[in-house]
Amino acid sequence: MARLEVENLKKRFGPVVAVAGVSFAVEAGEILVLLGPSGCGKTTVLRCVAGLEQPEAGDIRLDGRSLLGLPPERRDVGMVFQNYALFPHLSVAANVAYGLRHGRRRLPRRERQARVAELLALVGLSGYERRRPHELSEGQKQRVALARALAVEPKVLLLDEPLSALDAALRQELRRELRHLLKGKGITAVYVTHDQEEALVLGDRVAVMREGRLEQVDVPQALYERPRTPFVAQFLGRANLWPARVLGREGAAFRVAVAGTEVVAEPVAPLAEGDEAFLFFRPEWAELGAGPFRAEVEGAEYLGDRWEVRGTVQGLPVVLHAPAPPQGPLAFRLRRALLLGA
Amino acid sequence: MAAAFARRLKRRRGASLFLAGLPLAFLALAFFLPLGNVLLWGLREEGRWTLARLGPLLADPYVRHLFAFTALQALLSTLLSLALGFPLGWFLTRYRFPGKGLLRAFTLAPFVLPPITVALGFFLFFGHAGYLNAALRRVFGLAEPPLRVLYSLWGIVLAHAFYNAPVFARFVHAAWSSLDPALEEAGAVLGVSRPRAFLTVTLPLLLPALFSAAALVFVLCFLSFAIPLSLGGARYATVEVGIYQYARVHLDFPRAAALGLLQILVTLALAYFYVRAGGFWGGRQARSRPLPTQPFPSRPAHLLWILWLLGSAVLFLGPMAAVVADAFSRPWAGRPPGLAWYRAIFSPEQNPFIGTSPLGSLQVSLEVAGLSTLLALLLGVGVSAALRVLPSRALEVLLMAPMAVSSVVLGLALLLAFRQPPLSRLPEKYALVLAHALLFYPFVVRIVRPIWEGLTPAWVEAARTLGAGRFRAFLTVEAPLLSQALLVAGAFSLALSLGEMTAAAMLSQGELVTLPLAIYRFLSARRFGAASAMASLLIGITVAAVALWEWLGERTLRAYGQA
Repeated sequence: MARLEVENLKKRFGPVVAVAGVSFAVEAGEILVLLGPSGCGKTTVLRCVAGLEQPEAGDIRLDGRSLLGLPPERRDVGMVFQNYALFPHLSVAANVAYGLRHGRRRLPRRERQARVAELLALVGLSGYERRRPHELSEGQKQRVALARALAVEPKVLLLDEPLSALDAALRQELRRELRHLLKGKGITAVYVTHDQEEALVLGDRVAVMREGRLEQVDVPQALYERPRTPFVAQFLGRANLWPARVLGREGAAFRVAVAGTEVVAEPVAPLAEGDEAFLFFRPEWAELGAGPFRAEVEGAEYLGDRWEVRGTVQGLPVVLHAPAPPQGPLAFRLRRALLLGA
Repeated sequence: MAAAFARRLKRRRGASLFLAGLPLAFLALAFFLPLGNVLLWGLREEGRWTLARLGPLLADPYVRHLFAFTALQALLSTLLSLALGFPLGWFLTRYRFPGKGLLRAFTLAPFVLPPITVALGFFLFFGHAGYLNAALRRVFGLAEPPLRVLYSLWGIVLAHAFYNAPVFARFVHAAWSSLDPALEEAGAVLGVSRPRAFLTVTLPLLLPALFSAAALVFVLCFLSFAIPLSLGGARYATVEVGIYQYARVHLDFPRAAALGLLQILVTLALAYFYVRAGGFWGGRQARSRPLPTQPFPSRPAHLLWILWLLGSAVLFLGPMAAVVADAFSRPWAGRPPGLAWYRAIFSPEQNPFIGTSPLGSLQVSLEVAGLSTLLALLLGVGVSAALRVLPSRALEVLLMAPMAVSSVVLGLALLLAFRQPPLSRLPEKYALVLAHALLFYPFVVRIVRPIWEGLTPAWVEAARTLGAGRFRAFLTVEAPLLSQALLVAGAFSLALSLGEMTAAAMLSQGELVTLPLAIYRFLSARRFGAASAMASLLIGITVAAVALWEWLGERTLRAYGQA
């Protein structure tokens, strides 16, 4: 178990800035998820930590010791690759044993075999020792890749979209298993994904990345309930974001002018009277029936347990949840609303 | 920290430059220097630069005749190859039938089939006293042989078509089967008849492949040596034969060098055209599904195909079968030979026709083939590695340059280089080893490099994160994945070296008489039995190399395809 620190990491590919100064720390035994749309630089951060890319600036420390300049094989960092990268010429057992045979922590044959058996049992693949990678299902490949990375007992495990090649049902099953396994062994892990649901389920904390920068690092509930930026608010779940103007303080909250009326909302950014801001609320924070807002309905989609209603309030787009298909305009009030900086 | 980091980066860059520089340095010393020397020889007289040699050369009617004849036979050979190869490509693409894999493998054989065995096969099969004429005379009761193709331009053209029709078949088959069947179907839905859809849709899409194949075949026929030498003689000499005669018969090296310079200028122009034509044919279209095939034979109209196949079998299998049959049937001391001709080619006794003992010839051939294959593999892997760490178009051109030089010119360059110190201290056979390595390592690169480039980088990266160093990752991950490609490349290089006659003829000295050269000398002396036994041996090795290629290729695809 180890603590990983990434400090002010920067990386460019030619003229393209992939990572523009990223800092975070992963505590011993913690799972940190790097979440963001494709091309946001999350995989590059991971590859820099593994030593597969060389950053231009910044530092990467493991238990206080800098990893910069060390080749990947001397970093004590394990990695699970997006398409698993199982060696096609080796059996399942030989894949798992690879690091114990050719790596820095070599074991004698007998111990190696025992360790391989133990790891395959851990991922539920006992009896598959002699199979070749092309004879495995995608889910089985994923488990072998995990067992292979864990075999050398790395101080930090890096996972690069390890579930993205799987179908939805298997993905849900495996992400539960994966979290259970990582927490059971107390492994420090950095997990890269673009799937928000996966991030919320798997991460102890989630770091949302956008265009090479971190937008917010927080526990999953806080990201959903108290996003700090409009990007985070929109990236995770449904979001209503309306431009608003700050009128004045009301205790810890602010009174704002929005959509032709006035409401009180809780700020997550420092604001002052007269500032431009965004009023943010989730569909489930709106209470239908009566209130200051009136939504003109444009359409509704049936989602099984509810109807998702699209419409406009004073020309501003809005998404609401309703128990039945709406007949005519919907009046609503907000149980909760946040003020995000513009 | 930053300093250590910068040092590491610098070291890594240094290592890649070193890796890229190694094969380049070798080529500079073993190829560019000797070649430059011999070509400049054509431009120098008594220590001064001059074009004086080239002028009279261009005015010389014999030289003009050489170039004109070479171009004419290459053009005719290309056209006949197209006429014979296109239907074969069509047949392979449109029909499915038992033994299709075998037929496809056969189209690969001519790449490695030694030209001298083809020449011998043509003598035995199409010759005035050959099997075909004998059969025709018996059937029609003729007194004179009816087919007189062999000792003419047409003999050379037919032999070249034997060689190169399969090239067209392969190009057409590859291009056609990569076409989207929806294209022709779209034509049909628009109300166009099938022949018209072929002419307006399929054929235009195949044209780039046909141009590429034509350019390649033209160059191969332009540089052909063994076939015009043995089937044409002095009257039908090509440029390649001309250079050989100046250098090895008249010992007029400056003239040979000047002719070599002219030839290189022509082949560079042709190579440029080939590369340009290849550019057209770069993109593969996305396909909705593979091209549908019809079962064969399934309709009365297929009878035409069957007749055509029989005719092709006579042309393609006849000469090869004639070689094998001749070794078993030509009388030995007036009696049926049994295995006598085979025993004769393992004889350690000096043979006056070939100038060494048959066994000695076999031994020196194997030695040269083994050493040159090792060197070609090393060079091929080195070049592939260099192009991997430093991908650059200019470097690729430099590292693959020996492909652009004809075997006779390369032989001439090494012949002269091995006459001067320090190389003159080495036995002559190393000149031939070097020549074969230089001729065949581009094939090694062609086979190994695409597979190496196709390896997912994540495999090596995974090995690294598991604690293996860069070199160990190469040994444990890349090398095993490349081993089959290396095996195939090695088998090919070995077969090519055993069958190569051009550089062997340029560099032969005393006891250094390789199998193809021995066959040529037996053939010139009309000692067919021993020639046939030796040629059968070469054909066997060639077939084995091709079989290995097809078998391993299939297996590798199955095992690693999508893994």
